[in-house]
Amino acid sequence: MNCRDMDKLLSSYANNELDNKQTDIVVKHLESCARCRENLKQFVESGRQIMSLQQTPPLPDVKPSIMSRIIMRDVKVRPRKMVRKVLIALPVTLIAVALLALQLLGFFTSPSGIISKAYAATQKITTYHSSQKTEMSYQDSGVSSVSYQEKDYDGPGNYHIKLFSNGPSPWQFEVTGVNGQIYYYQDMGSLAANPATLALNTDSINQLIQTAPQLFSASAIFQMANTDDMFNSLTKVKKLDDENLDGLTCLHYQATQDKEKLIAQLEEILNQNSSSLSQKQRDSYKSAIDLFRNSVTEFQYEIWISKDDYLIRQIILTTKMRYTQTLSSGTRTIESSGVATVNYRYNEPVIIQAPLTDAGELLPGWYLYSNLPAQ
Amino acid sequence: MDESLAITSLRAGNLDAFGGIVDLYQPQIMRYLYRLTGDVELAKDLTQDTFVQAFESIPKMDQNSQLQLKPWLFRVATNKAMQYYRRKKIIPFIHLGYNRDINTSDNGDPSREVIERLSVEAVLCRIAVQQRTCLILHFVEGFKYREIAKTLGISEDAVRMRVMRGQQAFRKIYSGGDTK
Repeated sequence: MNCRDMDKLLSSYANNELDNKQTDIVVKHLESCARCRENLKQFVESGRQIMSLQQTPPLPDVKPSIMSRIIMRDVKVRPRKMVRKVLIALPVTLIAVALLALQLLGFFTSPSGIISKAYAATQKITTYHSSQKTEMSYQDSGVSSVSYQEKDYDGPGNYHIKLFSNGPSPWQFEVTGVNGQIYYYQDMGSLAANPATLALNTDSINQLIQTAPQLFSASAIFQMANTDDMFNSLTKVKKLDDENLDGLTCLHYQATQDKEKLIAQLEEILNQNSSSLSQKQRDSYKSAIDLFRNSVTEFQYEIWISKDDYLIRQIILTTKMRYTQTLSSGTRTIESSGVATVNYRYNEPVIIQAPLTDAGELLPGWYLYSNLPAQ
Repeated sequence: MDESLAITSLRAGNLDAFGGIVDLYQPQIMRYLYRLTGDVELAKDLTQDTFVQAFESIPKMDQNSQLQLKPWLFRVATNKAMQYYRRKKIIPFIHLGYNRDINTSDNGDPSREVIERLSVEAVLCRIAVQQRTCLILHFVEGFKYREIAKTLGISEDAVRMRVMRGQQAFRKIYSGGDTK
């Protein structure tokens, strides 16, 4: 074998890629050939040099972007099945999508860094607690009301939501999902006797259960919309000065709900899920959309996102509504304004307890919600 | 992580299983693409493309076939890079802007190894992409020729040839014999 033919073997020999027979040939040739010995040195040296590239500068972690792309892709591709989707959705996914929507809206000033961080942050959420205070006032009558919602969420099927008011006519409503069962409690107080009070029927319990995994649901009207629908239809986003919230420095944004866009999204969801809803549900959603279309005059968000961990810490929603109510005595125009303040805490230990006695019996006022519609 | 279990879970639509696969292979794929392109931003994009394709393709594959994830992912990554170069019709040169690894010694000079690594990077990026692919897979990623052949879908002999030519070109450019 001449030296020219040796190169291929020498390179393979230097790289430990020869079988025994070929190795013998090379070794034998090298004994008598100084040129090839020099050549071999060059192959060994270049191999060593290229091997030094195993060391790299710190490279960015691309996992958050990969997972975001997959989630976004999933959200786009997967047919919207309202009940099913919401029941099985992970809060983490919804939060991630909401953050992505914010990102797309130009919510963040430095896109690549913050969205990665925001997504990474949602991956660390195991539980969350939200407390919401809703203040409503009615201009014509001077009546105002305050109600609260406390929610503990510990993964799909494990949650406790309590809605209550401590006002002159107190009421309380609770739903607990745990161990594959759903329990509810209602004490409407003096309101129970008032026919105008919305009866807490199967539909309204369903709505509450559906919204359980969601980080944010603005009001009963929007319980059919997911967090991502809400955030997807924001407009006029404005960055305000950073603010300190419970010792956390937060990015502070203001945005307005794009009414037409949200209505279009709600109608699309309704159409796509029409076949899985009862006529009564369809009618109730339709009238909710109509009410929104015809009555909402202002719908503005403020959002605080912690700079430390990029999680949403507070949302304040301000709404103004104006609508006409028809009474037997004639019509009257009602103007109301509402402010809902929601605060979030994450990853604290959450214990969801079934409302049962030691003997396994339901506590007073609680019911087992056993006729949940099939998924 | 049990790879076949992760693949089975992914086929069943389990996003967490896919997250495990990303955790396991993303650093290698990212390094490979960075070394292949010399451009960290491009490597980021191509790494994302590779895994998004994996997420889409794996569940559709023949369930009976024993998918070997690592060579398959490197193959997809290589194809993504080739597609990019075909589309752009450009020859990549090293982006010296990304010199975050220049450790400085006490007197402020970059250390000798780093300077050498940077010249090696620069030289490598001037080698024909097919040879470069084989060099990186072998020397940086530790693939045997047999594994490179399988990953790239070429013969082992072709790999042998590309590595040799690649090493020869490397020597030539490194010693200043060829600057293209």
